[in-house]
Amino acid sequence: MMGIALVVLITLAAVAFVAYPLLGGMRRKRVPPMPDLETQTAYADAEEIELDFRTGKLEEAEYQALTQKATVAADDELERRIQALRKARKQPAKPAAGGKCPRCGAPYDAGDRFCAKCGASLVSARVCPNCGTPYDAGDRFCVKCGKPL
Amino acid sequence: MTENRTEIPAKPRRSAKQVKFLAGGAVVILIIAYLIFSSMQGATAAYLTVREVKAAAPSDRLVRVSGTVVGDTIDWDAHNVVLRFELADDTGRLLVVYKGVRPDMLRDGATATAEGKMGPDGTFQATQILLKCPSKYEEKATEQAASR
Amino acid sequence: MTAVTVGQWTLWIALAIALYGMIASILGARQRVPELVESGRNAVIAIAALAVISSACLLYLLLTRNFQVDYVYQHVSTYLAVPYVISAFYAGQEGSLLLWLLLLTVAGAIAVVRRRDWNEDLLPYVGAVVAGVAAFFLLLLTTLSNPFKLLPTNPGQGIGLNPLLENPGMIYHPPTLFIGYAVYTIPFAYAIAALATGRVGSGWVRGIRLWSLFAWLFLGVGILLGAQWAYVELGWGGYWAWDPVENSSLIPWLVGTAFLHSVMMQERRGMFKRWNIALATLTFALCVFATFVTRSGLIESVHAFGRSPLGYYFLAFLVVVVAVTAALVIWRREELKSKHEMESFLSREFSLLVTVLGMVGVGLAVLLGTLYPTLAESLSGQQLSVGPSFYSRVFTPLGAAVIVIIAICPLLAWGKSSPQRVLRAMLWPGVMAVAFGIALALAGIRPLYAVLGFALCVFVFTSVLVEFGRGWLARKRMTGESYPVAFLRLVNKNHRRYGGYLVHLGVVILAAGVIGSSVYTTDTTISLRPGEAMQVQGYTLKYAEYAIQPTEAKQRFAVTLDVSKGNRSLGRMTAEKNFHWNIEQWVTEVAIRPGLVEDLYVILSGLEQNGLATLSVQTHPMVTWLWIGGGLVLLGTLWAMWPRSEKKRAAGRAE
Repeated sequence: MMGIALVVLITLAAVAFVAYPLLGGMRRKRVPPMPDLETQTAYADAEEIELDFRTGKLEEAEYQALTQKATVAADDELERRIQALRKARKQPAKPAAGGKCPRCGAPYDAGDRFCAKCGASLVSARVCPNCGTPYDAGDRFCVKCGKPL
Repeated sequence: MTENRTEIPAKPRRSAKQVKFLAGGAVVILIIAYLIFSSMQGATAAYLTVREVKAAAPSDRLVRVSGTVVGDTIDWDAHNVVLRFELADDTGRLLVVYKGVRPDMLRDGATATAEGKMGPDGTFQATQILLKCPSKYEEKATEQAASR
Repeated sequence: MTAVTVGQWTLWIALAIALYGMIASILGARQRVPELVESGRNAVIAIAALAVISSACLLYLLLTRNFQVDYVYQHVSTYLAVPYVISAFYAGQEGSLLLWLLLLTVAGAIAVVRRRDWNEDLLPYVGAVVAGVAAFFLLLLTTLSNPFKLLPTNPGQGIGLNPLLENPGMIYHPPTLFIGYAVYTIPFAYAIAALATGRVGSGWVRGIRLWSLFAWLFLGVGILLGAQWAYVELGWGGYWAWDPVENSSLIPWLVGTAFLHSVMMQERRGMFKRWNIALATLTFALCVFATFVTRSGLIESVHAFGRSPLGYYFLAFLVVVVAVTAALVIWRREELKSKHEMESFLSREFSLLVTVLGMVGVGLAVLLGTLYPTLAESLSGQQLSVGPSFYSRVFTPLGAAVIVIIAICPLLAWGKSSPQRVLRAMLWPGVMAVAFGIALALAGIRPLYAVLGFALCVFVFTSVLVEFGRGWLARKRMTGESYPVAFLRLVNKNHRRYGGYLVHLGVVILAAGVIGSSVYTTDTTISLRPGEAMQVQGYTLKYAEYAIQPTEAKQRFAVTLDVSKGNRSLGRMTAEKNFHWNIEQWVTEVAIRPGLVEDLYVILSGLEQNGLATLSVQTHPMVTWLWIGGGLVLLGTLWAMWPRSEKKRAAGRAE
């Protein structure tokens, strides 16, 4: 009957679609990066602080202090990235010979700068400078040790 | 050793602040809780059976009676906008008097809940009638009529 | 019958794939096997496709009026108009669950497809949760609540829709609500994902921003549409009866509002992390609760609960959801600690805390009122009911408090504000409110608490306008742009803030409408003969004509009135009371003349053969303000959600 035939067809299609990656059919697409959440947050904060000040909600001293904190964080982050990029360009940074990609777990060779499987950069890593725990883009404090990032 | 000394003054200052805000939050919660419980007192109405309603002395308390509408007792006076009908449950029949527009769903067999007070003349003076669809429809389309 | 087979079997397949997807995603994420993660992601997309196919089958069965399918028999008839046949999809329990599943899986598929570098770690768990919830609904759909169940023979005709439901409201109100309910699964899924990965920082909270707003908007609009439907259709002049079904949709909206605001705290100050997890979970749980209350008669009586095992399944599901979330929260309690603390009572943080507590408090109060009869009956055997006065008594002061906070919170800054600045900012709103209040009182408007309420609304309204004004002037000073350009750039650069302010304006107008329509409604009963006229509340109603005639569907009783105010003619209104043959029931068609100040509302109570008509003439002031306020809330939310053009350009450049 037509119904059963359709059901079989649909089942096969669904199972094939789901099993496809397992059968080695994975073409890893480069994930489009979002404009940097962290600096975005910091500068958005600074904008909002200024608006608060200009609309008369903040005292001058508070305003200066808050702006300082916000923009310093952003400036620091940008600075850090520039340094990392410079370093990466100067010498091909060698991650510990052999190991697993922190993002997808695929093994990489010594000397690789990017993971062959998922494209993650093996050189620069978002880790807390104080305790080494990896952090989220957009976080401003380390979740483990509490140090401002 | 030095670490301990610089930490101790920092700690109590922190917890004093925290306590202040916890207290503030607690006050808000208490106010809300008070509102809920005080409002609950005056607003609950007990469900009584027909027999219980008839037996109780006419009082000022609002009660609800649920039952089935007896179709041939429905008397709708469109002029004076007075509706009379009898409500039946397994303990008896009650004459309900309602001063308001006759609800559409009122018909024989419908489940009706009348809210009001027992009048001195032995009739139930309803201020609100709630009706439920008698049978087939799953979506409990209800109708509520209230006189103002 | 092909449609029945396909419809039924796709659900079974979907259940299997959903279970697989859940396991594959979690396993793949934990063991770092990207192929499994990808496969799990495909599973989420697959179950969405299967849900679409199954829904299409049900729709086909409905439209072809295949009465051998029990669900079609219950909700469709041969003479039901096509739009209502479509709406029959969600008129009953089985179809509603299928609609939920459809909306949930489609939302989930969209969520897992939109990969960005910041949410990559979270998405496998998001997919797993979506698959898990879908599996629950699929379990119900394949066992207890099968929309494709067949009758032994084809009865040839169906029961059809209750004429009370044959109203445009039936078409737009339930789906809107359901979209809100189903989409709230995504923030919950993200919360679980954040806990599972330990990334409880601002990443997940930013990710769910648009989803939460979307769900909140549809839920809110859905509730308003339901109120509007009740107002125009049910014919008793009200729009909200505090009955269990209505309440169950309001509660998640209240908690969802708290959630929207508490998220702000985490984004800006790293605070309220646990609140956000809890609120995301609570809102989702309440949405599931609402779905079941609406479609299973759970609340009416304890006996309804036991009649079908559905109630137990649902209860078990909620228990699992809460237990899993609680366990994860305890596991991640270190990461969930706040990075900041509150500085002073006069800060945005504290006012947001009060907002959250207030909204959740009101939500809990309504929940308590709704559940109290059921609880009391199961514990003490005593049957009682909770009347509307409970809700008004709780809602009124809390609502007033929330309105006040809407005014004050934007005036405060993060951290600490100086009392003088705050008081100065409240000057103009205060003056306007007091002046307005005195004017109303002098004009003889009573009761005084209503005047106070209106004054409060004026206070908030003015303060929001002042916020717009201050920002505008500040920008002009900062950039030297012209006034129009400065304003446009201001609202364009801060979608969230000014969209939010617009929403607040809408809420205040809505609140004013609630006050006006609750306190100042009038109801006058009149008897008229053809040709006669009478004065009611300043309107002159002249009996123009009447009709008593049978049609194919009903026995029609209709009265047409010429309405005028003073010398001005306001047109004609026709009120009807018809007896529908098929269901042997009376249906009232109310005549409404909407107005900005008040609505004129005429109900036909009785019509005799000689034309003598008894009419209930009501005036409902400011009901239109509810819809206007609602419209502003809609616009404001859309504005807040609108992507900033700069962000889009930057995203484009990066690719």
